[in-house]
Amino acid sequence: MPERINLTYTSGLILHAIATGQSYGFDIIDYTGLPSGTVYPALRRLESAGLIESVWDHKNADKSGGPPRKYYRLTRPGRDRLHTLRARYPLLEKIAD
Amino acid sequence: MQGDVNAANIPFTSRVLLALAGALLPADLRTDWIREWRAELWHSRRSAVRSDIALLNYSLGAFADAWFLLRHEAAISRRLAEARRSRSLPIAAMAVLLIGLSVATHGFQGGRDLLFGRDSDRLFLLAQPSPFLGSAARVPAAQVLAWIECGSTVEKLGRWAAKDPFVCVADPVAATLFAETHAKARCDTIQLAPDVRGFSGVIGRLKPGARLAGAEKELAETAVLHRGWLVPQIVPIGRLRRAPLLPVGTALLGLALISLLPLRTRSLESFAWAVSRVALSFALVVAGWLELTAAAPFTEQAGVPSVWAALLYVCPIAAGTLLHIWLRRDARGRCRTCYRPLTMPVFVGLSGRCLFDSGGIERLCSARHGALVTGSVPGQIGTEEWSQWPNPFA
Repeated sequence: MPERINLTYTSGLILHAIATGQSYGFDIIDYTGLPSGTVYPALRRLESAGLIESVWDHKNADKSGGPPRKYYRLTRPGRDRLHTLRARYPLLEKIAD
Repeated sequence: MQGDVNAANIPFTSRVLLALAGALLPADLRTDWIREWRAELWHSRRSAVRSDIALLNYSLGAFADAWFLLRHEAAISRRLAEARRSRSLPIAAMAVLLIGLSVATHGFQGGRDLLFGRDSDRLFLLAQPSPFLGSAARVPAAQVLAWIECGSTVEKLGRWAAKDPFVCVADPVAATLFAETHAKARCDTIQLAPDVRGFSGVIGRLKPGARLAGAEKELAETAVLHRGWLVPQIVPIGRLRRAPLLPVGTALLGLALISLLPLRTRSLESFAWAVSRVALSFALVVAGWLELTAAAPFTEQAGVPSVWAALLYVCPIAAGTLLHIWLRRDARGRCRTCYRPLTMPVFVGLSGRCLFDSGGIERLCSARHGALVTGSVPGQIGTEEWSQWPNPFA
């Protein structure tokens, strides 16, 4: 059963970051300016709530020769939630893509 | 091999932090978790966008992440809940803490010396505050030396002068006296003082059979005392060091005893669990306090300096009082038969009679020994009723 989470500005910011193409954990940290100790637990919470999903990126790993990274993408409920959050927090829209 | 190559590209400090944070997690969660963090660090390092300091900063978040996963892991949450309901776990934890303290203090060496090291009763201190603004030492130094050299009551141990004339550190003094040769290296507060101007006191040892009063009398006969000092004051070091023991020890013993009063146990088993909790928790406080007292500095005349008084007098009593309050509250919420915490609180009473009867909260024993109804106001005393259930297997 998916976990219910609050519609906070932080979760909105992270969903917005993922929607704008920041799909890796550290990229989301850089984009949002939030500390890693906030972003990663929030990602876990959003994932367990079914708003985002994570996939191992083997294709790019083969190209770079490094280990595969885990990237995050929005699910349909996640996009709906982001829409609600943008209505609640209009500043989210103003963050540069 | 690939894993090793990847690990080598990650800064050492980040690797250490990841290993420490990963140790919090169970093995089945750790593999994927550490793989994700290592991959992020590896690619960040390779792209050289972020400095090592930035990566270190990012790595610190691994603890929060691991802790979050740990808290939300169902099996672990269940285990934590079971631990909270456990009777033996807090007792085991306190026993482990006591053993750890014992190992760290070489079997409570300081506390044992303080309580049973009777040799320090024969060691004494002749207070000789340094001359100040034309004042003179209490007893002329030369006469003190003559008394020590020729007296029949004392043995010579050495003169000392403290950098701060009113404070000497108990441990270096004791170490100097008991094992002078190897203790001098770490004796930084006390110096042997041939210089008369720095001469501020004498540490001596009574000869076997000699008494303190006899030594004082002999010194008074030997020396010409300055005006106002009719009787030289010789203070046993044992009395200075053990000064906090009687008042604080009595207070802690009293608190431990009154912590036993509200137990309200109905069986020997329950009583044994309760007494173990009280005894071990107070033993922890007492052991820590005794070690601290043994390591404390003391002044020539007034025992411990005022800065230390809070630590040696106030803190243990405050800790004992808090412990008593916690034990009392904890005992109220436990089964009277098996001492397990009571669970499943429900409000009981009739809402229509709330003006006359405020109702109460009923909690049940998870081992089906009975139910406790307490007043609905938290912390209310005297309104509790224990209902013992018959044993279905009897």
